[in-house]
Amino acid sequence: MTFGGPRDLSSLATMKGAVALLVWAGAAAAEDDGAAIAVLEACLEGPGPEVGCIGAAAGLCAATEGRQGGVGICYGLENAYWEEQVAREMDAMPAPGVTAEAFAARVNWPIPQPSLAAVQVAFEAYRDAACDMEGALWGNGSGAGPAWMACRMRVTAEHALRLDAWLEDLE
Amino acid sequence: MMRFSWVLVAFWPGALAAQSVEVSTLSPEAAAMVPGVEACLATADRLACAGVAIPACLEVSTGGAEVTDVDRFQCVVHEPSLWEAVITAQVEALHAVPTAQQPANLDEHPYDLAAEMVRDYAGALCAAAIYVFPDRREAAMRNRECMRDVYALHATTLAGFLDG
Repeated sequence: MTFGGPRDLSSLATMKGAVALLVWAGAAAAEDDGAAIAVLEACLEGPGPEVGCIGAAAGLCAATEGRQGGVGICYGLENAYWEEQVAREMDAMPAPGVTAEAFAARVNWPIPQPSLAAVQVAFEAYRDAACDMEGALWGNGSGAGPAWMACRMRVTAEHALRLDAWLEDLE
Repeated sequence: MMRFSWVLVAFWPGALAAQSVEVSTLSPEAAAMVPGVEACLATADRLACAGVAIPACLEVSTGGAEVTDVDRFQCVVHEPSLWEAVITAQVEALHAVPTAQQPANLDEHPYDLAAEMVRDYAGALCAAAIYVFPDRREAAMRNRECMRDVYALHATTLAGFLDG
């Protein structure tokens, strides 16, 4: 494709304008996203139960005027935050090590024997099954996608909060 | 033509009332907690149902005598089995919904898979309590509380579906 005539230049200018608008909207959205996550983090540091904070960022994001892409985008935004928390917490969890495994065997710790890899695999399998179920309950309606993402956000957040509570007990 | 259906399909009115937890397989302590948990799940505050029926268990296990830490421990130990039974009853209630009233893509009964996966998840996650709590008794207590909490949240989700 070449841009040779006045009409093409006009199209190019329009296209550049559209790109600029998209960049501006993207930057504004990123700023809004940061504010939404900040609200979530402030809630988590507040006095109430942490589980009550789940969805705070998604809710603020969804309420942002002019937000494009629907609420599913907002659930995805907060889900990404919780996924980062889970990854950080799993890294911080102590490896089972010989001592813990020997202890588990000695006290006849219930099967399954502890393993961080098993925790991650089981979490992902549960999250997928639970959220496929929630999505399916919406039939083929347009709410299925947002419901699925809302479920992933919620289940991941609950997992992150459980790991966080255990890490606090370790300190 | 694009159709929007934002309203969750209310395809099983009254199903919650039809579900009943099978108590014959439960210990007396776990069975004692069933009515309290069922009542709690029927309320709007169902997210707070984990542990709500412990007093009923203590009543059975102590016969009204003074409650000791051992009694509390025993009741916590019995809670996961109670919640597993609740989930089983809920899944049965969902199965009981006539096929014609279920969304087409529920043919594969995703409740069964989710119920199976929640057991694996609770087992794997909560077994890790032994890393965190060096004291065996404390680890065992936290393991059972963890399993209870995981099951209870799943049961809460299913209760929401059953309510339509």
